[in-house]
Amino acid sequence: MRAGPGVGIAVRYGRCLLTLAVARLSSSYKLQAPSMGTNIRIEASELTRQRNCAEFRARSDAESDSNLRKRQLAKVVAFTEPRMRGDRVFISNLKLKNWRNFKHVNVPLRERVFVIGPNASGKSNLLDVFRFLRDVGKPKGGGLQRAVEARGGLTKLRSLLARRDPEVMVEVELSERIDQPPKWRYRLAFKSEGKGAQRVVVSQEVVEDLTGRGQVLLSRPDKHDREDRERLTETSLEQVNANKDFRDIAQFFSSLTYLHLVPQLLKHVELGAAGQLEGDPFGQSFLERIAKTTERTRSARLKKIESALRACVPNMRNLKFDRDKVTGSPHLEALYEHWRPDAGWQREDQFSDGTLRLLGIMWSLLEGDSLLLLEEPELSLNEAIVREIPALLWEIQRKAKYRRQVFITTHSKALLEDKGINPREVLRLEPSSDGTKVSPPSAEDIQLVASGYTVAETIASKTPPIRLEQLSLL
Amino acid sequence: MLDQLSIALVAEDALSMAVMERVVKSSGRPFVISRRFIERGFGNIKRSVTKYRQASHVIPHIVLTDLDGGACPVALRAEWGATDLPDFMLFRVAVRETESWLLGDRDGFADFASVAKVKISVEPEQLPDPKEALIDLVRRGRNKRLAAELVPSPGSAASIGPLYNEKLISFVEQRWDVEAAAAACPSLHRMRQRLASFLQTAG
Repeated sequence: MRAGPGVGIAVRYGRCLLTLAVARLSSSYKLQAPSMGTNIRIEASELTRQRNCAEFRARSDAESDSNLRKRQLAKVVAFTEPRMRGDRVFISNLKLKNWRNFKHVNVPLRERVFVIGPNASGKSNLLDVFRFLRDVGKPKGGGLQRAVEARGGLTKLRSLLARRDPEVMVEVELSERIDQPPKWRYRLAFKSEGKGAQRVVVSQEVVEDLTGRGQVLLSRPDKHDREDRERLTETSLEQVNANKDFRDIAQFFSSLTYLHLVPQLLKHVELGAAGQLEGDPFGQSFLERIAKTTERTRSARLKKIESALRACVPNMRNLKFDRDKVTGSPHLEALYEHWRPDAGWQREDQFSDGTLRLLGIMWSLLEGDSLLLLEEPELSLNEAIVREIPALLWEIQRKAKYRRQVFITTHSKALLEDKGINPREVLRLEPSSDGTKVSPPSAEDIQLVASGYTVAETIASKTPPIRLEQLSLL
Repeated sequence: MLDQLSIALVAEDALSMAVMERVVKSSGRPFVISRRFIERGFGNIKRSVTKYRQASHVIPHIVLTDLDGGACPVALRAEWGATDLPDFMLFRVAVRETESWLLGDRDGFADFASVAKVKISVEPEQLPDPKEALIDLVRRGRNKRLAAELVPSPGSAASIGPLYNEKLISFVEQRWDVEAAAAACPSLHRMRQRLASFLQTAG
């Protein structure tokens, strides 16, 4: 604020531009004669998102009359940085080397990412990168060794195409705002020890603070590592002592959620009796998660979900949480409209598969503050509802306390027909003999969308149609 | 060496797309089909003429649609607003349906469907419903397996058999003689003429 000669605050709400104040500020923050100054425009969406407004008062002096200091009290509402609350970040770039079926990847990412590609192109493998980072950075029972082991060891994890260079590398950049320079960069590379027990060892771990002039906070292997090779079996990310300067990154990774809710597991609890996978990818503990939330938050969230769900399940009312009076087990209940007023109470085991999946997705969007990975949200939903998913996600993202970055894998053309999808939000996976390529949209794709094609059409148009003969059925 | 011309094709369905690909490839011009838009029905094409106009500046477009029951291609173009097109856009109408173009290769089709050549119309564009005519030929043909694949089962409300598109597409890709068909189908002949000069001046 000090740098500019003047400050004007114009707030755009919807399509109207409302000018609150146009004033010139001296370096001592005194208001002087009004004139045109720098405009700070705050987008409508950010405006609605903002709750934490900082107020500042500025005393003004009339420039023309220094004796008659007519002190004016101007109350200007200055908004904090748009969208960002606290240090919430999102992954703005992803680089991979030899990760599963990807030999090289380097793609920019946005707050919403749709991952598309044919079957077996590696959509889930791409999402697994983030789960891997979570597993490495997890405070309880995490770590590099475990994360690699849980994926069947390095031989399963490393791309089959990795010949001369046996190293696996993951690098992410974290930003606070879209299209702004990143704030952090974290790179982790690892390979096999090459002798003895063939443990996995860190070959590179670099953390950079990219704000300002940039600063390398960590660069391994360092001299301690050279003295004690044993240290290389652990990343600094997983150690509370070592990650002091970049704990935000560790926390960001450890709090991400992966969801591929399997409704049958909620309906038939006995199926999950064998236990749950780490991180609960299939949403088995969904009801317990709801149960653990405080009453107030829970009913607020359920209310938001119910209103958002109305478009998809129009006859569902009064979505609420309840405990079984006999067993104490948690349940969701909703009233399905029926001509007999109290007849339609149904529990989650009677909800449709699609309703349950939507509930799980929306709850997750409202719940956390880190990256959310969604696998095929279109499953079990009819196409008319699938078309609404992008809008629904956006709506819920807006209502959530923290806007989570969302990755969505999908096979659904209907989902990508939404005109509101920016082609830059789509990553297309394309299998090739040299590993799957991840391609962000080309300039031509973006122009075609601008000419009126949907993202789905534009992207599908690049691949020749699959013939039934190619499925070797004939 | 000739410069490659990257183009986009727009068709009503997968069969028309396969036909168009063959026609474009047989033109002898250095076209590279880099995008294919299958619009699923003429309604979507009719609705999107403005879109193609705009998008043709990004990548040249060739649009193929069926005349179906319409009076004539000129009237259809006028009705759909497909007149005064940019140089980067071709809008072609298959008279009645793409199926007439398939029947235009009488030798090839007679062989494919195991029917006598004389049973196939010499002027397939005069057929009021070429799709029905084609199905009818196959139904009466000697290849019973093909008939089961192409002809809807008796009493079915479906207009085509279960593998109609798949089988005809493989016919188009493997056997269909574009030149023979163009000799019998004036609308296909005109499309080939237009393709010969398309993007000559522009690109």
